Amino acid sequence: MSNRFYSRYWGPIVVLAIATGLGWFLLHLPDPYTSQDFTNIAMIYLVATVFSAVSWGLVQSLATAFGGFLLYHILFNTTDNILGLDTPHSIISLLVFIAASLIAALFGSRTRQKLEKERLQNALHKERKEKEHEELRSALLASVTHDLKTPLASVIGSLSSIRHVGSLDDEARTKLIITAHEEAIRLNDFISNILNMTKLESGSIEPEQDWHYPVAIIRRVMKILQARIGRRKVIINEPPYDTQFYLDSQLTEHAIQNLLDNAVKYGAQDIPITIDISIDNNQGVITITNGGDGIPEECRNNIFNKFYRPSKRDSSVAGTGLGLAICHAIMQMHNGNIVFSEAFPDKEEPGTCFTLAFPKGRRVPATAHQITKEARYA
Amino acid sequence: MHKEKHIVIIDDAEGIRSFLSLILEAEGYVVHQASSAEKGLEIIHNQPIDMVTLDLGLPGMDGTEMLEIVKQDYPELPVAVISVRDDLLTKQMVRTLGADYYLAKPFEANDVLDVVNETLSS
Repeated sequence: MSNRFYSRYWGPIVVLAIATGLGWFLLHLPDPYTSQDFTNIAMIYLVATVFSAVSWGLVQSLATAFGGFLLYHILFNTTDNILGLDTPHSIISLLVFIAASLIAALFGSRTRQKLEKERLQNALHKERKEKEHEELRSALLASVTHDLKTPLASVIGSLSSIRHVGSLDDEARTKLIITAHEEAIRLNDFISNILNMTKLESGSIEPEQDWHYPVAIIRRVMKILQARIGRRKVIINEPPYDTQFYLDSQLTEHAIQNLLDNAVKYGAQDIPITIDISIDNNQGVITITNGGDGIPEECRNNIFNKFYRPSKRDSSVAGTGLGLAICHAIMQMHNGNIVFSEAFPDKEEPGTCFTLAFPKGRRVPATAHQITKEARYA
Repeated sequence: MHKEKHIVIIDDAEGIRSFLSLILEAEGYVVHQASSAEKGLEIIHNQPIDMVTLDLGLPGMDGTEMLEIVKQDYPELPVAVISVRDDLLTKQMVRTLGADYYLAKPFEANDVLDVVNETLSS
């Protein structure tokens, strides 16, 4: 019993001892600080009760109140009666003291419960967040493993076939070499995208913004993607005047390359890809539009998340699930944004339209136009 | 020598399907390809299939779900699971579901040819 008793009531006992000590101290202060007003001592015991309620709970606070009452009347009462209950006035005082102690204990206890509840909720929330984070990490790791191993498996499989399978004819060998080459490129794309994403997220890339011609960047991208674009029709629509956007040309080139690559991979073959350049409220805007199935409605909220691949048919096309996340990160670095919408909302196959909005865009003055006309297409 | 033996390759990675078909066709097998479990099941229902190579991480219906269905409807049809998942738990799970072979990606051409030849020659 004793161990349990002390573990439960050591707090109230200590608090009462301190309160009693303080009461004794108040009574024995030298003049002019000393006071024979016992109300102050009663208040000290009340404070002790509230402290117990907040610190340990209702039972301990009641014990403190009861102990406080006893100590007050035994140690500090000035009457012959041991409890000092010799007049109606002292009985009323006792009842008020007990009532005040009870109320303080109840409120204190509630406050304590509330604080405890908040602490538990915070701990639970933290635990849930950590679990979610861990699950996300595992999912990302699984996704990266899958996306690295799959093209690698094709490369190793194709090359080992050429080396070990004697029954292959020349045509089959050529096809295997092409497969190995394409898959190696895919693997390289994936690794590059992971590295780029890591650099963007770590903040190690600082955008170097200046005024650039968006059309020049788009033409550079088209040159890089020439082989992938093949015979697909890509239309660039410019305003009737020259435009410059305030941006980092390397990063923007990368974002446009990802978007144009997606348009080529996932867009309908027979519908031209269009790239529009415009200035809207002093913002520089580039939209890239393609026909085709588009992105299912239920997937649209997640398309800018890392390793997210929107639709079932995607998996038959080489992709890393990082391209749009990188575009999003690049546009955030510009303090701009990227928005998805349907290219042809009224059609059965709505296609996709990605809009890049840069914070600053301007018409180029005529003099600058003459000087830089050649540079636009460099 | 492998005439009339039909194999269906079910894998969402075009590169894997491509090279597997080339080496299996070179060995004389008739190869069917499917990029999803649903398409694979359609082929199994409509063609005289002798063996299945099955990826686990498929879009839509997962490879393990498909394995369950195949082993329930065609218990005698050999299935070789080919997957990037190389952990003991997955291997144990697919074995419990009735897979006859398990190949972890990446693998050599001879690994898959050995499995297919051994299965279809017996």
